[in-house]
Amino acid sequence: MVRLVQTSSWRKKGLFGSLLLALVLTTAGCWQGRELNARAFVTAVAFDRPTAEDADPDEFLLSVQIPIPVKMGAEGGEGGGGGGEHPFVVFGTTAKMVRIGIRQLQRQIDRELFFGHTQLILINAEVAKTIGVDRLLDYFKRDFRVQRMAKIAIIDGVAREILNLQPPISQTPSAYLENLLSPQSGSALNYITDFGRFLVEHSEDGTEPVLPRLSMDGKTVQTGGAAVIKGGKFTGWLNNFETRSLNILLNQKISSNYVVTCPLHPGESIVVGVDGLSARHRLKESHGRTVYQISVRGKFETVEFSERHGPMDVFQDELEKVVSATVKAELEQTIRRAQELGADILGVGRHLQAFRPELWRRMKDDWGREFAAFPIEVEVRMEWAMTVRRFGG
Amino acid sequence: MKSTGRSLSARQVTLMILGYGIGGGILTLPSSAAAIFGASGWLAVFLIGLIYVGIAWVAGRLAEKFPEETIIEYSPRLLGKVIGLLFNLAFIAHLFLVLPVNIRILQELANISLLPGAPTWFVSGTYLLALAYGASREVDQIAQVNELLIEIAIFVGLFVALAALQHFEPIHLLPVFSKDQLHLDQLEQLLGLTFAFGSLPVVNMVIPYIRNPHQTTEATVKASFFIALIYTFFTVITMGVFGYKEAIDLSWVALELAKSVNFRAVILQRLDLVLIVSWISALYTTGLISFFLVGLALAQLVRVRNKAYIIWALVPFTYYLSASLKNYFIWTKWSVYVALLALVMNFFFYPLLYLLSLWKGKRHG
Repeated sequence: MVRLVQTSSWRKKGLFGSLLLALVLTTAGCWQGRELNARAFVTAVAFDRPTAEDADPDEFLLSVQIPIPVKMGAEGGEGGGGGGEHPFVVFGTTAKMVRIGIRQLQRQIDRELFFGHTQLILINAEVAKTIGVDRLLDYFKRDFRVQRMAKIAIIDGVAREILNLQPPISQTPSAYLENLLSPQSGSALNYITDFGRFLVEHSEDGTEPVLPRLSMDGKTVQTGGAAVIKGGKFTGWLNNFETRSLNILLNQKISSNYVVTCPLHPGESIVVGVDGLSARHRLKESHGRTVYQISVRGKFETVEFSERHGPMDVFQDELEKVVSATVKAELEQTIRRAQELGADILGVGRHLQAFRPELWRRMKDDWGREFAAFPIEVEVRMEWAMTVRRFGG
Repeated sequence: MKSTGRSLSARQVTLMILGYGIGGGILTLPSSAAAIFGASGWLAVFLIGLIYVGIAWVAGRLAEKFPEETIIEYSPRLLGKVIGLLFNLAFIAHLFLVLPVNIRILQELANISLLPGAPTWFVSGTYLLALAYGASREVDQIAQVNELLIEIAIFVGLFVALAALQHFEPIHLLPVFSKDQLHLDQLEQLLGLTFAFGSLPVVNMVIPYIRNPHQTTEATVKASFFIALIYTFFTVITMGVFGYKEAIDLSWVALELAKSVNFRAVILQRLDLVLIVSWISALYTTGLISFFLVGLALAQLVRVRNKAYIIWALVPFTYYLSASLKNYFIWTKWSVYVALLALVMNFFFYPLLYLLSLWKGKRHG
């Protein structure tokens, strides 16, 4: 009897084992899997105006950058049979809808275009203004494979030219541009964002999104400045310093350098390195009206002097005042610019919605105009951290 | 049911309730909460969770009143034969209807990220066979499998949520219950929201297997409180990262959360895939426990000794139902019906059965 039970148990285990083995053998691969060499990995996408003079205003030129793996192995793209040519190719087509453009491109490429590794989406400012960012990005926000961490930038010039750029330091072109647009570039003059953050800012009431600007300067690409997007379309630029101030106002954790006048020696300049910045936003009542107050705190170090003296204890208070005033003036300029554009890039409306919902309900339908006249105060206090290596000149 | 095989510890019961409750619902829960309650959806989830903790107490106390029997066995005595039978059929139906939704969610997740283009017969079919095989085992084996899988899934889910904190903005969680963000008229969404909370039937079915039945209420309340906390935490993070408007627009909001986070370290570069793979475990525990309970309940109802026959017999019908839920909109509508049935069970029948058990107990006493 015992033997019979054991046999039955072994038979069951054997049956289960066979079933499991069959499953493992049949499901270990991918369903409808594609070999890597059957896919064209799109690392960057660009949108421009079509080159033809009589082009339909609704049409855009869609360009995609595809790396050539065999040419990406060595420095400058010269290894692996590259022979000094670019380690990537750029294809382009004209279309009214992104997916139709991709279908057109697919006719030129023998591999399936794959957007799961797309790191960059570049949009020409003119296209962003006329067609709008919304329509261009619609396909990308619906495709499950597209990552929310992809970088987006508005191009002051022809976006396709940037795709054709060979990076000065050995790396893939899209990685080079992605690094330029990320905090690691360290300039603090470009706005730090990505596709996911853009979608969040764009969907919210009471705040407008901003995208970084890229421009071509001869044969190099430059960051600096930002594009304000209102109602899904490009509205205007922020210059380099306005963008830096926006980063401070939005707590982007940047560090940067400012040139200020020496408080003891008029005409002399001191470069200060600013760090540890934090901005606190709050709504307060003042003289019967609601005021949006932004308090900025931070630290600075003196990093360079134009004349033959170094940090001195005697001008600590004065230097702190000068640096605070310089930072404040720049922040106020950014706020003025945002109000000129009628685009709430600071998120004032979002604060009203969160903390004064009644007031927000009254203002939200015409928020663009309300924001332009909304009282915003900035208060800045910078402290000299005084880590000194050398006192004299 | 006699207490011959009392093998489950209180911890295993807690984890079985968690395993049944935490599955596909959490992936879409923040989106539904945002659609109805706006920026305060996270608070609504917590409050709904607390209400379920109260009902969990009732369900636990009811189970403790009949430590030797499942709800299928004692409900006809409390409700009368006819109403008891109808109640049992509804109870089994509400457990069973979870299965097609569960299978369909797995099919969609597999098609989205792991096996694009893989047909239903392959993904759903294989998964259903794995569910049926698991559910036909004994309760202690199911508890052990659940114990392992649900802990892995919760750990990975919490890791993703914590990693997403880098994008968290507390202002997204305000204002609290602002009237222009409340859409309580969206009844379907509101019902769908409760779909994720209906895990109480577990305790009323496994009570005869619990080693110390007097710990049942504590284990049930603890599990419900954990579920409320996990859902609230997840909704807070999701809404804090996306804001309520973006959260409404996203179908698989939890996957988008994982797509927002990136670590420059081999496997962690695609955190969404890590989440999906581990969340399949959570889906499996829901399906496994649901199928087990259906088999057990039906076996008791029709007096079949081996529940495995019933489970395997249900496989073709379950497959047919899951295959008929052809898209996102159909299965979300289906989940609303399941939620409605669960609401009636939880908020009407459990308190009623508990009151009847007190009343009858007093009368006999």
